[in-house]
Amino acid sequence: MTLLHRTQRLTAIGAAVLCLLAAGGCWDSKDVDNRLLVGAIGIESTKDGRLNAWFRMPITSSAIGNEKDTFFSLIQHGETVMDAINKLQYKLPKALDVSSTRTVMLSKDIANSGLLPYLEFAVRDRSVPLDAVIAIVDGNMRSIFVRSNPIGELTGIYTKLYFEPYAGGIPRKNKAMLWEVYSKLLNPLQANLIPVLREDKRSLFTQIGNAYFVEDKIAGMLTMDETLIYEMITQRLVHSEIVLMSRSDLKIVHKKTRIKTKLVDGKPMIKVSIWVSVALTDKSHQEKNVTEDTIKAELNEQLQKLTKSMLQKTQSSGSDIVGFGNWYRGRLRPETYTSWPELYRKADIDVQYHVRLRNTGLEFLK
Amino acid sequence: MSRLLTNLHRLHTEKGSGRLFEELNDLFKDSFDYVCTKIGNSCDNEVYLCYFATLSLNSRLHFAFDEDESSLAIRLKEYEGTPISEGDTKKCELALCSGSAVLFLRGSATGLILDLQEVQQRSLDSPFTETVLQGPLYAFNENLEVNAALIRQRIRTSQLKAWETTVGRSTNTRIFVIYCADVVDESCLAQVKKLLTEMDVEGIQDTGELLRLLDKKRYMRLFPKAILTERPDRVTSDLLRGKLTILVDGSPFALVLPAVYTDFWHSPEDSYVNPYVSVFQNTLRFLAMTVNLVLPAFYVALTSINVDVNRLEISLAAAASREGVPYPVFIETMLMLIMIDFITEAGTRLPKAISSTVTMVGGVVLGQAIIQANIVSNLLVIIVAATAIANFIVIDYQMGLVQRVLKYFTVVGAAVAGVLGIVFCLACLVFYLSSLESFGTPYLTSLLPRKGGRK
Amino acid sequence: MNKTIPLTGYEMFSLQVLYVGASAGFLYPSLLINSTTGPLWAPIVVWALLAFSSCFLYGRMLLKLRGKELVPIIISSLGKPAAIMLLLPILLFVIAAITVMLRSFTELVTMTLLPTTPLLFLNGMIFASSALAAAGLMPIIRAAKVIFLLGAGTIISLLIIGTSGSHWELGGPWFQMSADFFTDGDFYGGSFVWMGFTYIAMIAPFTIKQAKLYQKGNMIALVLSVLMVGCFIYIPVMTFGREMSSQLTFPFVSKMDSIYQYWIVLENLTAIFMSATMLCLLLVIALKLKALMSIMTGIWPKVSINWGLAVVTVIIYIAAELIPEWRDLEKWVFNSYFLRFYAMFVFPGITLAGLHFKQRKAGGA
Repeated sequence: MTLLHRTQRLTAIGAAVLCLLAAGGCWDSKDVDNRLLVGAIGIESTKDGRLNAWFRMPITSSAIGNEKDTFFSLIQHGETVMDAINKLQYKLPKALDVSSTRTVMLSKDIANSGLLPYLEFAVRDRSVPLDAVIAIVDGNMRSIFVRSNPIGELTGIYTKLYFEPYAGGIPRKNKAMLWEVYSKLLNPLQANLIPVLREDKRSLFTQIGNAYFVEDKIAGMLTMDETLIYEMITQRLVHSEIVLMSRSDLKIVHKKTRIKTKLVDGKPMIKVSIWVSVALTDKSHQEKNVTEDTIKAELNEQLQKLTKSMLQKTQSSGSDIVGFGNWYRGRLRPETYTSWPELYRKADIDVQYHVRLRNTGLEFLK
Repeated sequence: MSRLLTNLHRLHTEKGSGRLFEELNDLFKDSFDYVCTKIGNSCDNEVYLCYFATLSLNSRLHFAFDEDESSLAIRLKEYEGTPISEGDTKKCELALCSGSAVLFLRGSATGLILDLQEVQQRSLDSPFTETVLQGPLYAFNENLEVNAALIRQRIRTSQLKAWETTVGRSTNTRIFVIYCADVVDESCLAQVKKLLTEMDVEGIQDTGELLRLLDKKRYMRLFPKAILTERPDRVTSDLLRGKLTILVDGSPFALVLPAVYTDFWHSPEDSYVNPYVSVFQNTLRFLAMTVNLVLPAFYVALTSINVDVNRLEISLAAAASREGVPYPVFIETMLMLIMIDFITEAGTRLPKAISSTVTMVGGVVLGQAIIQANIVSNLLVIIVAATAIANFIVIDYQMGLVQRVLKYFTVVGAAVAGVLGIVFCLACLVFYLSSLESFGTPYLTSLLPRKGGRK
Repeated sequence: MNKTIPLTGYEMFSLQVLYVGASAGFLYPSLLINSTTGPLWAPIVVWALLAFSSCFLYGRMLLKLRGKELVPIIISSLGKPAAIMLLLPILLFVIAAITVMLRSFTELVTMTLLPTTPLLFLNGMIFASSALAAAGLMPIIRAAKVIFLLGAGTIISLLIIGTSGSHWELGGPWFQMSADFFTDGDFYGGSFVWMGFTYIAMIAPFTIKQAKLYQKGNMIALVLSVLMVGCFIYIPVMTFGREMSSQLTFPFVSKMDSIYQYWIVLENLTAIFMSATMLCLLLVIALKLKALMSIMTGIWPKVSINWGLAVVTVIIYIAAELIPEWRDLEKWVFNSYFLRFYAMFVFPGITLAGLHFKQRKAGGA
C-alpha cells in the first residue's frame, strides 16, 4: 500500500508541475485576437534624417458587411523601423505583429539614398517574413495607406496579390521578394530590379515601371515593356503575356532561354538565345497584307528594339539586373567580383530571338 | 445393478471419518437453494443427492420418495450416461457451486459428482462493438464452451490446442488459452501460461480485467497490449497468424495477444475487400489518428504561438472568430474538448433512444449557443467536431479511449511551445511506444507483415 | 524484457541518416560556406572521403569483435589502465558533442520560433532522450525506424521543395579550385557532421556478419549523407548567392523562410524544418547517451545504468545552461576538432592494432 501512496504522491506532484507549466509557462503565447497583424509596411524618409513608417492593418471583425472600416492605418515617426514599431505600441491596445507582413513599400527618396539600412531589420531579426513583396512608391505614400481599397476584399493583403502569379501578377509587374532584394544587394554580380508604384485615382495604385539599382541606390527605370525582356532572359516568364505590335497582338505562350558566356581579353561576351512561341490574338484591320512572316519579323524587330533599350539603360549605369555576372563566378577571382559592374558596362551582349508562331488562334490568318 | 450403483458402493466408507454429509450441510447451511435429499436406500445405507436448485438442470432431477431399493436403481438409471467423477469434500463443494449434483452414501468420505449443470446464456448474436458490414455475422456470447466451439468450428485441425486453468480464489473462473501449436510463439505461450498460473486474485469478471492483471508494469499500461474482440473470425485469423487467444468464462470478449500497435488499426474486413480499397481505408484511419491527436493542438499552436506559420487570411479569420472570447486559446480549447467528451460519454452510456437526443442537444444546440454566447470561437467548434468524428474512426474501442486522452497531452505541449511542443509530444509518444512490449513482442514491430509468432 | 536482437543494415543506415538530419541542417552550412572561397563541393568531398576511410577503419575494427561489445573487448585485451586512457577522450568528446548539439539547437529555437521561452526549459528536452536511452538499445532502434520515416522523410521532402527557386549559376565557382579551406578553422569545426557511425559502433555487440552489415549500411548511408549535406549547403547558396549565405547564421533555415508556394498550405516551412530536425535530434541524443553509457559501464561495471544516465544527463543539462553566448559555442565547436579527429582515426587505429596483435598472439599460442 505504501508503494501505491508513493506513486499517487508522485503523480500529484507531476500533475501540479504540469499545471504550473501550463499556467506560467506559455512564454511565447499571444493569442491571435490580441495581435494586430500588419498587412503592409511603408517606409519613407523625412527631412530630419529619420523615417516615417506607415502600417496598414486589416481589422478583424466577425461582423463583416457592416459599413465599418476593414483596415486601420497609422503613421509613426522614428529613428529606425524597429523604433517606429516600438513607438507605435504606445498608441495600440493590441500587440503589433509584423510577422505576417505581405508587402514592404519604400519611398523613392529611400531608394535614391540607399535601401540597405532600411531592410536589415527584416533579415536579421526574422521579424518580417522573407517572402514579403518589396515595392518602391513614387510620390505620395499616404493615399495608398489611408484610402480604402475599391475592390474591397481583405485590405492590406491585396498588395501581395497584385504581384502573385496565381492572382493578379503578370510577368511585367516583376514580383520582387524581400530575400531576393536583399541577396542581390549583397551580391556584387547582380543588381536589383524593383517595381515602382504610384497612387492612382480610381484604383489604389498603378505600376509605372521597374527601377534598376546600382548597389542599393536607384539608377533608373525600365518601362513595363522593357521589363518583359528581363523576364524572358531570366526565365521568370511562366504564364502567357501579351505583346502589342502595330499590325497584330500576340500572346507569348512558351519560351526557352539559353545563355552562353565567355571572357575574351577581360571583356565579357554574352550570347543569349531565346525561343519564343507565340499565338495570335488580334490582327489589325488597317493593314491588308499580314502574313505569318511579317508578324514574325515585326515581333523580332520589336523585341530587339526593347532589348537594345533595356541593355543600353542598364549597361550605361553598370546595373546587371539579369545577373550575367553569376556566370562569371568561376572565371573571375572572388576578390575581383566587385569590379563586375565595370565589366558589365563593357560587355558585349547579343540577344537572338527565334520566333515560332504556334497558332493563329481560332481563326485562320488569310 | 446399475453402473452408477456399483460406483456408489465403491465409495470409501469409513466409520467415524466419513462425514461428507455433515460437512456439506455445514458449508451450505444458509443457502435457501441448496437441496440435500435422501433418494433411497441401498444395502442398509442411505443414498443422498445434493444440488443447487438454481444451478442444476431441473428436468433431470425428478424423483419420487419411495423406500424401495429397486426404484432407487430405476431412478439412478436416469443419470446413466452423465459424466461422473469422484471427489472429496473440497471438490464436491466446487462442483456443487458450478451446478453439478453430488451423490453419496451417508457416512462416506467422498461423493460421486454428476454433471447436471444448466448454463444460463443468451443466444448467438451479431457483434455489438465491432459492427460487420460484410463477413461472418455472429459473435461470442458469455458461455465458454460455446465460444470455444465457435473457434473449433472455424479451424478444423488437430493443431488447435486449448489449455485450461481457473483464476480467482472466490470466482474460480475458468479460462481457456487457445493456440495453433504449429505456428504459435512458444515463449509467448509459456509466458502467458506462467502469468495465468501465478495469478492470485479474489475474482475476475471480464477479459478486460484479465488483460490489466496480465500487464505487470505499472507505467506501461497506457496502451492496450492485446486486442479485445467479440468476433470469431478475427480470433481465428489471428490464431492462424500465430497469436494466442484467451477466453474467459462469462465474457463475450476474447483476448488476442500479442498485439502490436498497427493491429489496432486493422479491421477484419480489410482482408475481405479489394486490396486497393483496404489500403485507402487504412490511410484514412491513419489520417484520422493524426487529426485526432494533433488537430486541436495545432489550433492552439497556430492561434497563440506560431501565428506566422499559417496564411494571413486564416489568422485573420481566426482572430475574427475569437473576437470577444474572454479566455486564452488554451483554456478555450480545453473547455471545448472536455465538453465534447462529455457529450460522447453521455451518448455511449445511454440507451439508444435517448442517446440520439443527447447528441442532438449537445452537438447542435450547445454548439450554436456556445458560439453566440462568445465563449468559444466558431473555428474551434469546427475543429473539435472534426476531432470527435476522427475519433470514431478508430477501430479498436480501447485504442480510441487512449487517443481521447492523448489529445489533451498534445494540446498542453502546443500551449507551451507551439508546433515544436506538439512535435515534442509526438516524439515522446514514439519513444514511449517503442519501449513497450506486448508479451515479448515489441509494440512497434514494423508495418511489415512479421507480427506475432509466425516467423 | 529487452533481449537484444542483432542490428540490421537498414537500422544502421537509418541511424546514420538521422544523424546527418540532426546535425547538418543548422550549424553546419554557415561553417562550410565560410570555410572557402573556391568551390563548395571541395571541402564536402574531402570530408566525405575522410568519413569513408574512418568508417572503413571502424568496420575493420568491428570485425575483430566476434559477437562482443566494443568497450569490454578493449578493456579485456588492452588492460584496464590503457583502455581507460584510450576511452577517456572519447567519453569527453561524446559529452561535449551532446552539449553542443543540444545547446545549438535550443539557441536556434529561440532565434527563430520561440524568442522568449527560456533556455532552461528548452534544454529540458534532453530528458526525453535520456528516458529513451534508459529504456535500452532495442527501443532506440525501434524509435529510430519510426523517426526515420517521420523526421528524415520530412527533411528530404523539404530538401526537394527547397530546390525550387534556386539557380545553378549562383552556386559557382564550380571548378576554380582553391585549397584555402585547409587553413580555415571552420573547415575543421564542421567535422561533427561526419561522425554518426562512431556512435553506432559503440552501442551494440557485433558479430562478423554484423560488422560487414555495419560497413555496408553506413557506407550507403554516407553516400546519402553526402547528397543531403550537398543539398543543405547548395540550396541556400543557389538561392541567396554566396555573399548573402555567408552572412546568415543559419542559411538553410532562412531558405526555408523564403519558400512561398501557393499550394503549400503553410506560410513558412521553418517550423516544419525545425520540428523534423528536433525529431532527429532527440533520437540522436538518445543514441549518443547510450554510447556514453556503454563506455561508462564498460569501464566501471558497477555503475547502475539508470543512475549513471541520470547523472550524465543532469551534467549535460547544466553544461548546456552554462554556455552564455553563441560565440562561445562556436569556439567550442572549433576547438574540439582534435577530439573528433581522435575519435575518427586515432581511436579505431590504436584499437585495431591492439586487437590485431592480441588476437594474433592468442592464435599463435
